[in-house]
Amino acid sequence: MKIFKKLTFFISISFTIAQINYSGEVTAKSMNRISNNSEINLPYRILSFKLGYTLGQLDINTVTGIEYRNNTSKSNYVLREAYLAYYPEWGEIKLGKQIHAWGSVDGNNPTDNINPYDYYYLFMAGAGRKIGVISLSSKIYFGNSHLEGIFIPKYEKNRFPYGEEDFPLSIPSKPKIEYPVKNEFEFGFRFQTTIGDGDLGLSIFKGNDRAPSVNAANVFWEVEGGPPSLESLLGYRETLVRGLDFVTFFGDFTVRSELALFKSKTPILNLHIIKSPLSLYEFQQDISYSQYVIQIEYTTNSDIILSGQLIGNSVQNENYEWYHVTSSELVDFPYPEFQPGMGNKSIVPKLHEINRKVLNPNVKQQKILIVHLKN
Amino acid sequence: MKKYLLFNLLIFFLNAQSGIEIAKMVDSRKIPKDQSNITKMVLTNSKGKQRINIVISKSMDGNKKQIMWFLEPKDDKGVAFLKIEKKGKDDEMRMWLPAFKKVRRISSKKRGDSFMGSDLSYEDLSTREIADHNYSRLDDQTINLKLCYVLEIFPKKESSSSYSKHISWIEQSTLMVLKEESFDKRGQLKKKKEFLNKELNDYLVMERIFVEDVQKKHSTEVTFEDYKVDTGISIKLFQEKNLKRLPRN
Repeated sequence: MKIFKKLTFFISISFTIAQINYSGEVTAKSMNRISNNSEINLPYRILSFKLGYTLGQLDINTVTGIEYRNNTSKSNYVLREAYLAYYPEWGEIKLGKQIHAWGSVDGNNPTDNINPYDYYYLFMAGAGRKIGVISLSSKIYFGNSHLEGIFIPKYEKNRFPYGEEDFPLSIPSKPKIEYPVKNEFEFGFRFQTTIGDGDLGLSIFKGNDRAPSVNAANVFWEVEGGPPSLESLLGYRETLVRGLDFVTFFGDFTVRSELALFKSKTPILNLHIIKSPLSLYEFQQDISYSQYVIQIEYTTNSDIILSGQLIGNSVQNENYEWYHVTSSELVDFPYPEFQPGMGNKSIVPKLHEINRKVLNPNVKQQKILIVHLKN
Repeated sequence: MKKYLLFNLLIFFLNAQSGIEIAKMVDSRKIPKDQSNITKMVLTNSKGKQRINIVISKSMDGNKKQIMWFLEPKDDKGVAFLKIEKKGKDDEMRMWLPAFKKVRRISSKKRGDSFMGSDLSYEDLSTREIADHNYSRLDDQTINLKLCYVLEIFPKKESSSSYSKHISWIEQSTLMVLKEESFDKRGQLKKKKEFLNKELNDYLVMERIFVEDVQKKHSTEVTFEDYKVDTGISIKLFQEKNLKRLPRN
C-alpha cells in the first residue's frame, strides 16, 4: 500500500512539473474515380494522434493511428512510434519504435533506408509513409558537425498492397516468400558537417533489402520435353549502402543532392539439403549499383516554390548464377530482371516536380509532373 | 553680424549628425544580452481573412542568434527555426519539420522570401549591418508628437538585399525606430512598417510591429507577449538538437 501511495505521489508530481504535448487529426474521406465516381477501396488513416511527455531532459513520444477501410468498415489500430528520448548536453539518445530520416533531398531519397515504407501511403510526403522500427539511436554534436548511430535488432520489411486491385501501381498477389532474412540485426552511421555555406553528409548502412527478390526456384515441366517452368521462391538480399549527400546554395538556387552506392548479395540459404526437393535450384546474385538524385529549388517572388529532381541509377557490376541445391551443378536458367530492394521507391530517369504553395494557408496546391525522358 | 552667422552655421554643421552617425548611435543603443517572448503574428490577406501564428522565440546578441518554435497554427505545431548570423558569411538557417522528421538547411541568400507566409521576410528578421548600407539623413519629422530623425538607407550590393531603399523614422530621444517604408528593386514602395516600443528592465524593446505589403495588399501584425530579457540563455541553446523539443517559455 505504501509503495502504491509513493508511486501515485511520484506520478502526480511528475505530471505536475512535466510538459505534456498532444496533437492529432481526424480525416474522414472517400476516394472516388473521376471516370464513373466509383469508390476506390483502399485503407487510409482516419485518425492520427501524437502524445509527448517531457520531463527535464527526458521525452516520451508516441504516435498512434487508426487505419480504416470504407467498404468493409473495418478499422485497425497502429502504433506508429513509441520511444524514449534523452537529451544530454552532448546530443541525444532514443530507444523504441521510431521513424528516422537521413539525407538531404525530398521524397526520392536513396540514402534514406533505415525505415521500411508502407506502400499504401507511398504518395504521402515525409514520415507518414514510413514504418517505425524498434531501434536504438544516438546523435553526438560537436562544433558544426554531428555523428549519428542507429542499431536495429529486428529487421522490418516494406508493406505492399498485395492483391489490392484498386492500388494505382500494379502489385500482384502476395508472393510465396520462403526465406526469412539471415541476419536480422542492422546498423548505420551518418556523419554531417558544415563546409562553407553548405552541409555535407556521409553515411553507411548495413541491412537487408526492404523488398523481396528471387532466392530460389522450384522447377517443373508441364509438358514432358517442353520448356521448364519456374516457381520463384523469394527472400531478401543483404545490402550495404554507402551514401553521400550535400546541400549548397548558388545565388537564388538551392541544390540538394545524394549519391548512394549499394552492394547487394543473396544470402547463403540455410536449406535443409536432405529435405530439399530435387527440383529446387538456388539463385545467387552479387550486384553493385548506384542511385543519385539532384534536386534544384527556386522560390519565385510570388512564393511559388519550384523544385526539380534529376534521378538516375546504374548497375556497376552484376554476377549471378543458378545452381542445383544438392548437386551444385550450374544451370542455364533465365536471370530474373534486377530489382533494387533498397533505395529509391521508383526508379524514374528524370522527374520534374513543381510545388506551388499558395499564400492562403487553407489551400495547399502541389503539382507534380513526372517526365520519363527515356520514352 | 556675418561673423556671428558663420559661427552659428559652423556650430550647426558640427552638431548635426550624419546618417551613418545616427545609424551607429542606433546600433550602439543598450540592448539586452538575451530575449525571449511569445510572438503572435496575425496575417490578414486582401479579403480580410486572417491566420494566426504563435511562436516561442529566444534570441541573443541582438537577434544574431535566434531560435523559434511554432505553437500555432496547429498544422505547424512543432516546426522550429534556427538562425545564426555570421559576420562576412551567409546566415545559417535551419528548419525542423516534424512531419518529415528532418532538419532542413534553408537558403539565406534569397533574403526576401516570406517567413512562414507572413509579410516579414528573412531579411526583415535579420540584423541590418551598418557596413552593408549607405545612409543619408533627410529633414527631421514629428510622428505622434515624437521628434524623429529620418534616414534613407540604401543596401549595398554585398548585403544581397531584396530592397533598393528604406526610409526609417527614428525617435530622437530613444533611438528606437517608429516607422519604416521599404522599397523593392524597382524603387516601388513594397512595405510599410510601424513599431510600438515599451520599456522593460532599463531597456527599450518592441511591443508591436505592423507590416503591410502594399503590393500584395496583405498585412501582418506582430505582438510580443511574455517578454523577458537577460534570463541567462546559454549559447548552447542555438543548436540543431534544440529545434526538436518545444520549450517552456
